[in-house]
Amino acid sequence: MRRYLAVFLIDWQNQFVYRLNFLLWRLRNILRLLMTFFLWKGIYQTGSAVFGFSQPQMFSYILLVLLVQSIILSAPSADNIGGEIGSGDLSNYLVKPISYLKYWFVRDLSSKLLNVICALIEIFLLWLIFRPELVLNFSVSSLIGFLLICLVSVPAYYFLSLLTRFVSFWNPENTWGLSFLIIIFIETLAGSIFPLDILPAWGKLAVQFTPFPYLIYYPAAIFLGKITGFYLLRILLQAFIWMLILFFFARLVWIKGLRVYGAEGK
Amino acid sequence: MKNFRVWYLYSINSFQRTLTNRFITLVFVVSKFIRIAIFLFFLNLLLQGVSSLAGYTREQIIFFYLSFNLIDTGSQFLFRNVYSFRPLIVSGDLDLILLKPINPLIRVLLGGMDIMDGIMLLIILAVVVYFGITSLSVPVFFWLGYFLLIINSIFISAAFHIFVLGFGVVTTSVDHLILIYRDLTSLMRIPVDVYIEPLRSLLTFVIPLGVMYTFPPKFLIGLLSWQLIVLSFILSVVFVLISLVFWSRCLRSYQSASS
Amino acid sequence: MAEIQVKDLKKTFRVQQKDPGFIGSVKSLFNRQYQDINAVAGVSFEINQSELVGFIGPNGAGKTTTLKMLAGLLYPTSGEVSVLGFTPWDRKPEFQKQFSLVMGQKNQLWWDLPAMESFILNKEIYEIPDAKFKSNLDQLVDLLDVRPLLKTQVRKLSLGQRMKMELIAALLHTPRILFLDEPTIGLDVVMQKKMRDFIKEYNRSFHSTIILTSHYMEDVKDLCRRVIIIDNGKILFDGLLSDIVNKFSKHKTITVVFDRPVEKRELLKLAEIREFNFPRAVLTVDRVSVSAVAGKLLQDFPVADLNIEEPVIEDIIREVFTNHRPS
Repeated sequence: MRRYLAVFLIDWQNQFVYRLNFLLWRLRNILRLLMTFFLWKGIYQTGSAVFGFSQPQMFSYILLVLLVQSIILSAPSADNIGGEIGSGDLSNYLVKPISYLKYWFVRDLSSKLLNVICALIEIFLLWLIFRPELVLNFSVSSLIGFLLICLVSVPAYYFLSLLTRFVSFWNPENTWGLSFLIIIFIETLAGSIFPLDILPAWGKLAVQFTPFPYLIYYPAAIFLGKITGFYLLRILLQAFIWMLILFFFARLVWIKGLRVYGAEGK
Repeated sequence: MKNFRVWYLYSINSFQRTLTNRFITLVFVVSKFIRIAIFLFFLNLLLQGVSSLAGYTREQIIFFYLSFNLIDTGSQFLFRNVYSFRPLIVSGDLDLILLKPINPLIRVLLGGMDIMDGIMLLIILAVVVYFGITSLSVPVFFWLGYFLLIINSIFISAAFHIFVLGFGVVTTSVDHLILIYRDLTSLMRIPVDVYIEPLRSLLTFVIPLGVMYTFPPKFLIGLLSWQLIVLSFILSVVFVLISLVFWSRCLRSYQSASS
Repeated sequence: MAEIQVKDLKKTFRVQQKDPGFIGSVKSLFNRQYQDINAVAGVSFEINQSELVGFIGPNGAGKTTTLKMLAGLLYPTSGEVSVLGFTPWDRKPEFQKQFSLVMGQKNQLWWDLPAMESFILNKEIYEIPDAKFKSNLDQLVDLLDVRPLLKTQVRKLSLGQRMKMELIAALLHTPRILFLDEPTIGLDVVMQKKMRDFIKEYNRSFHSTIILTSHYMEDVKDLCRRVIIIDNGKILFDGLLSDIVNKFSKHKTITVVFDRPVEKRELLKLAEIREFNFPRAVLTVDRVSVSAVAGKLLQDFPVADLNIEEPVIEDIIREVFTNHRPS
């Protein structure tokens, strides 16, 4: 256990060395948030309620998405694992008494911590500047629900991105092909741009059969208190099942991948 | 001209590279089409909820988006190599390119054309034309003007990419910059008129994305005044010139990295 | 019992074939062709504690592949390996804590932080007790003379300094076995010597078993008493370095310097001429007749200087390879 704490600390330090990169990354996040903001502001010019969402409700959702993205989606492992497998640097870790997958998960956690702190600051500043009207009716139970789904979705996303990166075992030159597809799905089906409420009933049902809405939309919706009671429990259960499925496949592919791993890349 | 021949050879090599990775390449193309389809679906949903968006009908909004994809894919097709620029600088390989007796931009900007994007471009072109003909009643010669403006937009896009390359030479932050550019362009999936001021003017006159993406389809619909048409062409020429000057300035102050 | 036991180890890779050119690329889309490469084709040996063994062979011979299987990085196609009683590719932590793998030109240190941070991380990974960590660290740092560099970012160190830090990181947990894969590659001559001296010293003081692969003869000559020659995935020779010389070369060389011009023809009657560059000539002579030939030279020819030498190991090894490669 101590060794993973050491990994956490060393990664934390490392993040500050790459200051410029980090700041640009945060800038991009804010920019994307602003763009979604202006997109919806433009759309709301034409009417005061789109899809049953008032403007304040929409903006609350968007700000929350920024926070949720920091918690669940920030994962430097996604950028690194493919490269390490492809270049053969993975060998360095395989000979050591440490689990490569746990190692990167801990590094991700370290990065998430920094990202969440920044997201909170940014949300506050944005709110200060634009003073959008917000609608926030959350309660203790919605916060607990939020915590629970985050607890499940964080590892779920980790396993998902691992699966996309493990392609490198078979295709070392092209490490981010599959993740491109996943990124697109997350852009659209996870609720980053538009809350999934706007989908027709069949759409809302269909999307629950993918792992994506549990990453952004449901955490945000639960936080905002839109999902409660049995519905909440059902969503939590579904999210948990997805996490198990992804865990199972990630482990499977990892073991298969190691067999194929040529440990080359000199 | 030598430049074209070299460009041709770079492209053939680049095409070959993509073909060796058939699975991944296929995944990329499919993903892009899925993305377009999903956004079309979203637009459709959106326009069922509201009567019109900034005065445009549903068909027109969809056409704006299809046109967006045409320009976007065209840029991707031609300028893909910009995404591979950073490793060149970091490793110092850029020096090898600069030593050759040929304009480095040919390699650095145009040298990595992606055949998959090319195929995608043709498909989108077909869709654009088909949709334009069936859903919007447009006189034939308007298409000529439309495509001239599209080519104009590609030049503006080139200028943007050259700016990014220039920055990359000086700061090596190419990846972030180009992704910020892509994020900004994604705003143009809907006509720039939708956005409120001052953003609208910012996107039209300062960062000419509005000119690039909104003007061509607007022309086709018949809503672009001749003054703005002339402005588009002048703007692209000026913009390209500025970018080239910027690029050569950056090159001059460039120093190669150590190992 | 031997620390390392390898029995009939085999490793085969499947490599994709592609015809050159554009047409070839399109073809490869539809019909993939594979070729089987026997990187390791049945290798057996045993290594005892504290031995310093060198694996030599040309590029692609299978030495690095064998090493990687010993370290547990690769799964063999067939065969048995036992290292310290463990099967390496099970990757048990108890096993991993007892060895170290250093690959030349590949770093395990965190690039943007001082080396010290990576050392502390390794301390936790290998669960090294505080006191031991401190004493090992001090010893290694002084041995390699890098104390003032501990707080410098790794990216700012020179290649030689970085290699030293890599070594320290690899040795902090006093591994019983040290695998070194091309440790001197890319280093300048002075650094190479320092590296070799260090390895020798480490083997002497800590009695750890050291296996190194290299294609630099200097490494092998300097460090290893025992060498294993591998080519095409098979062992060509496993024994003492001195034995190679005796087994594989039946010749010695005589280098002569003449102080007056001589007839090449006359010289040829005595021995085979390898080089003739007046006033210097290098002759190849049967081991048996060396003294006789030397005597005759001194008698019949105007010799200013004469030298009898063992053939250079590089040449012997080259001879071994050329004799055993498929034509």
